[in-house]
Amino acid sequence: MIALLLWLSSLAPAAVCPQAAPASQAPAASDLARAAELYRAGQHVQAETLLRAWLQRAPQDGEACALLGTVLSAQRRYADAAEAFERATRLLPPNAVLFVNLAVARFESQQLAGARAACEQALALDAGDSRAQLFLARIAVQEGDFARAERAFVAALAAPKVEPLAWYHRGVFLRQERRLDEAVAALQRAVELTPAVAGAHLNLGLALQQLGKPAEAEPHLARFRQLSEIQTGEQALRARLNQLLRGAQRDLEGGNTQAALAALEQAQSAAPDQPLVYELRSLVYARLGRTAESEAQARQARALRERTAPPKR
Amino acid sequence: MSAARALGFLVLGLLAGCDDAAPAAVPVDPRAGFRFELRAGTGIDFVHRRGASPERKMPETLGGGIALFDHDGDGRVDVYCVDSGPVPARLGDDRPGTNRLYRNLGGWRFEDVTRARNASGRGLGMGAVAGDYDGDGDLDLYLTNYGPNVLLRNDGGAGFVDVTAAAGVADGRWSTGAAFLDFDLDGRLDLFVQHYVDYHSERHVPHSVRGIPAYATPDAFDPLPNVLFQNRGDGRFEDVSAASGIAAHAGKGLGVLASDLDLDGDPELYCANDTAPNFLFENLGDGRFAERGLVSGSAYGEDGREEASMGTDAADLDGDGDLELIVTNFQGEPNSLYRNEGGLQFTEVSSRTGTRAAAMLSLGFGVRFADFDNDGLTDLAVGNGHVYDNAREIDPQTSFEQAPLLFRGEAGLRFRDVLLFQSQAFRAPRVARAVATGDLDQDGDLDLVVGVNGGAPLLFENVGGNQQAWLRVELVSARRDVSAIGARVLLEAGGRRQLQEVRSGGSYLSQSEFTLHFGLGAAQRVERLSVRWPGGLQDEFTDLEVRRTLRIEEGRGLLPGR
Repeated sequence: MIALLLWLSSLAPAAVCPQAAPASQAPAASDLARAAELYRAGQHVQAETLLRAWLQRAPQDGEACALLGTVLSAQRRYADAAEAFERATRLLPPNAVLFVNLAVARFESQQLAGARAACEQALALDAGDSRAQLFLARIAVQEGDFARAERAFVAALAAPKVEPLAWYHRGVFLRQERRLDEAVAALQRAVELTPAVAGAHLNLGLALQQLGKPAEAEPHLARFRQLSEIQTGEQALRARLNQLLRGAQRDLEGGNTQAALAALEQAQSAAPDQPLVYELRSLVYARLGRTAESEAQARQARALRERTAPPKR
Repeated sequence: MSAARALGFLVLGLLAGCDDAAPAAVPVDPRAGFRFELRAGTGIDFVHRRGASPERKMPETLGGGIALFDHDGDGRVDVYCVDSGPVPARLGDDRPGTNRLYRNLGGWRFEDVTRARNASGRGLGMGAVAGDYDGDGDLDLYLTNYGPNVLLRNDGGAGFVDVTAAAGVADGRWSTGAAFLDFDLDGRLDLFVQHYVDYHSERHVPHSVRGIPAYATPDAFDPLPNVLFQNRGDGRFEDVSAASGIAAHAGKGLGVLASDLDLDGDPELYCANDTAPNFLFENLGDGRFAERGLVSGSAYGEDGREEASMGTDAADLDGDGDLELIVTNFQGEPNSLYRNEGGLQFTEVSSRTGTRAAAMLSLGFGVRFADFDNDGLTDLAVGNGHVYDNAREIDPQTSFEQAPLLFRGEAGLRFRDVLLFQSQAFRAPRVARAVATGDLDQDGDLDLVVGVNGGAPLLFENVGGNQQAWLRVELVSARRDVSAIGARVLLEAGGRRQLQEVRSGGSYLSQSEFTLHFGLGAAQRVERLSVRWPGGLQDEFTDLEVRRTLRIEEGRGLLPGR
């Protein structure tokens, strides 16, 4: 049962990586690199654990603070991220990118005045920072100063290196302004530059629809549906799987192994590539004394794990 | 915040904290134009039972419905409180109802008439909507439940009669929002019932978030199609969900709105879905509906994300003669505001309305657009409260109880946050669910009632809203339907045009009073008022006095005042 619970907990987003060093251990220099690696691999909670342990020992490490801010932003914990970035800006030499990261974290945690100040600090360091202008524009929209938003959007798109998402946000703004022809032009540029941004396709499709061009709108709405279904389908599958596995756990605890097997069969048909399900079925078969079936499931699980394992460095 | 300013708020809070039977004599802050004061000692002793269990079964956290309607036709708005209680062992298990009906005696006094009126309902309650479905001149009630729903026919002095079985509207799944509407314009009220998810308490499985036990998310369950019942006129309803096209779409519905969004004379249905795209069912006028959520621009947030939507409302915010939509959403999402562009096209504009930042920090449920300060511009009230009873344990930056949102409407589709100018009791964090409006004390401004999950309902008196002029309009259809659902009133006064529509349901598990309330600012006369009745007939009136309640019957003009 302990093994089962461990497997189940590994499904939870906040699962603790077995490789992560406990906070009580002395951090090694490689921990920082490992945290960056974990972040890049999408293991944000584990990366946070390592970074917090590191910062307990090296609280003046601005790079670690900046990385922690990035890791927290990836978890959408923007208020915490803003604190980490603030600390980084105090510890590191002035850096426009860092101030923009701080601005984004403040913007997302609804600290609009602070976000504006951070954008202005970024622009004082690099007047051509497109992202800083973009966020100034988005802040102005929220504050109801649409003329200021217009100026900032224009500046963001005139920068030497344009932030690709600036076209998308400009398009959304123009659509809200009912400047539909301009919105279509901006959003067409957005879908060229950022084709995986579902919202760009949606807003373009809707702008075309409002212009009375349903035939031109349809491919963009179809693409939006496609992108959107991929995202939501994955979420729903994860939740469904969790539910079925917890049901199996409950049935096993209650001694109802047949019901557990039924739940696991459902889980297997919902997620045929999930090794965990095969491992659980193996466990249940073993408990029922059905050794051959248990081994077959275990083999299948191993094969899937090997297939999905990240390449070794 | 400066220390002096903080002290100022503290003093204001202490003063406002002396809520008693009568509101404290604190002057209304001109920046808000009105203030909500909690009324205590009203005689409403109902406390919603959420039925909290260690297993954390989903229905426990979503109940808290309220209906404001004049059940006895005496001109005063009564209060109906929907109870929940323990989740039954099996979906469909029946039990006696524990809802309560309070008759408004005037002067903020209410009398429990549940037993006398046989109004307790049955089962685990979610919400309630009113409508005169049998056209006999009094308002009936439809109660949504986790399990079979209940139709209570109002038989006047004899009280309510449970006619669910005879009417054929029990359903039996997990119902949430509902609305009476005349979708086929035959003069009889039909009924739309929204379903949440396919959750069966007998198959409950514990759920956790980051390893902490929590209520399950709707992602873990299959969505359900909604149901449309057509009123046959003989006391029975026919399930026309399949024939109408409604059944072809499964959602995870909570709030619902029936409203003529494309101005073609018949009502559309807008459904707020939790963790799924919202539906907009266009009424095709031949008994069928077409789902247009995506192509209308009202299904997703500005960035194309599906949101976890709870409540919904509509109002003509920009005075262009069509209705904007709002949906309240989960924490971390704005309350999406869809500007009506005409032709059933909407643009999500919440980022430019001034409401986004505050909404992102809270989990919204009930929502009402209403002119609380009578200045002729629509204001916005939102009830908040998390779904996790242990929300703080899961995320230290949030909590189960949350403060409401209150915005004063300004020109150009902008709102100003006026929560700070409200009483401490109003600002206090709660687990708010239903939000309904009505002029409970008949003083010419709209009061607010909030249903609380696991708590007593909150009756907030509007203080100061009636300093500016107003006009209230009660409508009775030619068929003597006193709800007149679907009727629209266009009013011109003081250089401003205002449109309102009579609706059943809306918000979240709520029914607001049917009387339409117009704030008129400094206007001394209403220049023109026209009523468009659901069948298409129009009545028009000119040069009306303000600060009064008009009673208008379809085709027969003004009725004598009460």
